Amino acid sequence: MNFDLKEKILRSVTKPGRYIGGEFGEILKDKNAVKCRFAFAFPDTYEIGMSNLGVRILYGVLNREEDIWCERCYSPWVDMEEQLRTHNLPMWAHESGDPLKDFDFLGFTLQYEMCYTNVVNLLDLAQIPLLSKDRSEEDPIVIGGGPCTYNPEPVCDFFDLFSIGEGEDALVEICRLYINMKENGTYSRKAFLHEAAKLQGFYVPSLYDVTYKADGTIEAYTPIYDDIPKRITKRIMKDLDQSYYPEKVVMPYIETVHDRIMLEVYRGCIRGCRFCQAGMTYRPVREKTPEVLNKQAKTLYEATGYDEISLSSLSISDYTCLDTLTTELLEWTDEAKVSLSLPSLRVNSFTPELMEKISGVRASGITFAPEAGTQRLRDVINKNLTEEDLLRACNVAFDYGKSTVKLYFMNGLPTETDDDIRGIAELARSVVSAYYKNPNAMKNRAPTVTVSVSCFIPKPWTPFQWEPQYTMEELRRKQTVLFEAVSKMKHVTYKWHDAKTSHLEGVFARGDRRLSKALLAAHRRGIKFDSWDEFFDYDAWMAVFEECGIDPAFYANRAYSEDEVLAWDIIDCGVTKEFLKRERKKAYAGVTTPSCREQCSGCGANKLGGERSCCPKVTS
Amino acid sequence: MLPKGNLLREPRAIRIKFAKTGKLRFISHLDLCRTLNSAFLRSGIPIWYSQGFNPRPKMVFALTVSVGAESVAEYLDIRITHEMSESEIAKRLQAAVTPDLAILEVYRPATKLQDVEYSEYAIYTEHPLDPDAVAAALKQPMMVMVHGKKGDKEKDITPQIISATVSGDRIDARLAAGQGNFLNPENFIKGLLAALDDPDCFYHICRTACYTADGTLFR
Repeated sequence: MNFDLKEKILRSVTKPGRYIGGEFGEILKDKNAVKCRFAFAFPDTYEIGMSNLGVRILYGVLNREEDIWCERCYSPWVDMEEQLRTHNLPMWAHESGDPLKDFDFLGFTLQYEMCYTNVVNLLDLAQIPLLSKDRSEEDPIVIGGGPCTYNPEPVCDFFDLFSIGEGEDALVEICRLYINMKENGTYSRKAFLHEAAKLQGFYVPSLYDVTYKADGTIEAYTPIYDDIPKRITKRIMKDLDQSYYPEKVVMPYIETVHDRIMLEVYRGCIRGCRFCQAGMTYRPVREKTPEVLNKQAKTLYEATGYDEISLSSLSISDYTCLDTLTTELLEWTDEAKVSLSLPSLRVNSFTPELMEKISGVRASGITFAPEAGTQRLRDVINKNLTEEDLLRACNVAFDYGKSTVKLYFMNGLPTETDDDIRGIAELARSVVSAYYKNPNAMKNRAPTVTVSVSCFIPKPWTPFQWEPQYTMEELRRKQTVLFEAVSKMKHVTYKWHDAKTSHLEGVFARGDRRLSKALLAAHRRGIKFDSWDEFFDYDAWMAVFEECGIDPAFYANRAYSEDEVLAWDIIDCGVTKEFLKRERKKAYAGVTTPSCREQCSGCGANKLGGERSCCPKVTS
Repeated sequence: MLPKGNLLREPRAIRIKFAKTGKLRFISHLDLCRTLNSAFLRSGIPIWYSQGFNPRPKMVFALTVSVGAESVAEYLDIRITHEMSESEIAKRLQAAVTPDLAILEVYRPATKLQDVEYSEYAIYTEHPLDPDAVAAALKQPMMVMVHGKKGDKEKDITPQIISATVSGDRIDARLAAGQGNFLNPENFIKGLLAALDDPDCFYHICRTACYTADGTLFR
């Protein structure tokens, strides 16, 4: 019997199910009958990528087009990479098993900064030239999208173009442009990218020159053609009820991070926490109606057989029809033994009625995110949550037999003092004593309060985008202050994030296109899987920056001037710089901003339109 | 998605014979269980749930094959709570899984899954093996490292080899596959290749049939 190389390799790696495709629900087409082949790559493992809602949506939306075939690809694990390199085998797509380099498009979703090295590595494993400038007419068009493309500059040398904002319509449009130009004979890589840059929401970085000042800050972005926009406005789906939503899911054989139905309830957020990038970049708020959601949930249940539905949004409590939706869902989910989960609950909505409805029931704990330890600092970051609210919510959970509470915080927020840090410990102590004071709490079980603390990273498109990130030494000192305050407490566990990872994330979050050089150098050193603790190598990264003559502190730890040109000024995501400046001023004054539903704060995102939002309509 | 048939007085036992081939050979038994779990839920088959705090569709498998191996003789027992014909169950289940998981037969069992005593395997090797050398090797004790509850230990597996015939690059082997007396075909082929001084020869295993103690085909 003949055994091909792929068979032998698959038999030698761990979890071959990551690479084989063939899952129930995958979409197969005749490659000779389609006009455009799109490989959708997720630059992390299969288990993480398969759980991503955006990929599920875009896979469906592209494959709905008869003449487009979208396939999937994920970062191979290191044992698989070794096999591919040993045998000089190019990375393939799941559905057809064809090499990625044979596709028309290779799309990457950029979900977090720490996956950038995996992007470069995957290009390399696909045997596609790493840099856009080195690609020929035969190579695929490499396109990026996703949350990180609100500042795509650090990776721009590797991409031919970016899709900015929501991709449902945009990706089909760019494929249509490609097909049309191929058919009418006007296609060349150069001509295509020029045409693409004229469409709304497409950014072709090579068509913009960047100049720098003597101090290293950016002087200006200049388009090299007159007929392309000076700034790229993001795309949004205006009416989410009308927008495509998958009716089936590719069902992974192997266990993934989220094996459940993800029901996207609305986009955007009315809150405006000042550290939160998603809360700004997903604006304006656009809701779906409960009728549509209930129908989508039923369809997905019948197509998947998943026994859990997760209501997905940035802050589920703020959905105006939450009560109607959960009531309607429970009419059939209970009998079908399907549980509902509501992540991202706010404390003020944590009521006994809601507690009755959700199945968190099986889990023994609840999670809240106060983010800061004192009211003063919570006002600075506009996290409208009081200690009273938190304790009330915890008591509801205790009444229902819960005994574990997880609290998320951030270290290193602007204006933070050691008293604010010790406030985190005090808040945890209050939760513990609330448990013992609650007559309904479980008698024979001690409470566990987990305090999980990450390091603040100033992100583009937030009111804190100009703030310096604290140095690693200072972040470590802050962690020690908290450790000392918490270590004496009973029933409180303290978890913290490594400041080194946060520092690197801080560099790339606000980086400019000069950082592409560092990513290339990092790739040459074999750096990858930076979001995996077992691979993250801070010292190697510092050596990379040194080798490239890049000062990481310039990006992460510098106080940016409100007047300087920011790397992400090339993008327009809706909210204006004036709004962000106003919010920053209010932060320093300790003044909170009401939610969008209470009062419009004039962020500017309403110019993009949107149905079932709470924004004032723009009349033109 | 509610069951349409009448409620049965007692849950009815149903046996499903299926094949696990193609890409599915790379899927572990645990993952196969999860795959079938969701397949039953989306199929609308009125499967009986285990009782207790966390009810689950109840599935009992006969023996399983290791990752990498194929099988055209896998057996799974379920129970149904509502009336549904065997052919309808077969149709619905097949529609809820990929062709690599072929539903071969659905019936009401007259035997217990534990009645399986032997399995037959077709094992394909990268190159043809010498039948005389194989016959000679099988006459000697075959010492193999075997995973056990008390850790790995070396064991002579020849008593568990019922028969083995070679024809070109195919070996047909009948091996013990009973409760407490099970020979993993991987161990058999590894032991054989080691005895032939050909340990790196690549191979592929497919279970072709299961038999009861008296040598009749299991059903």
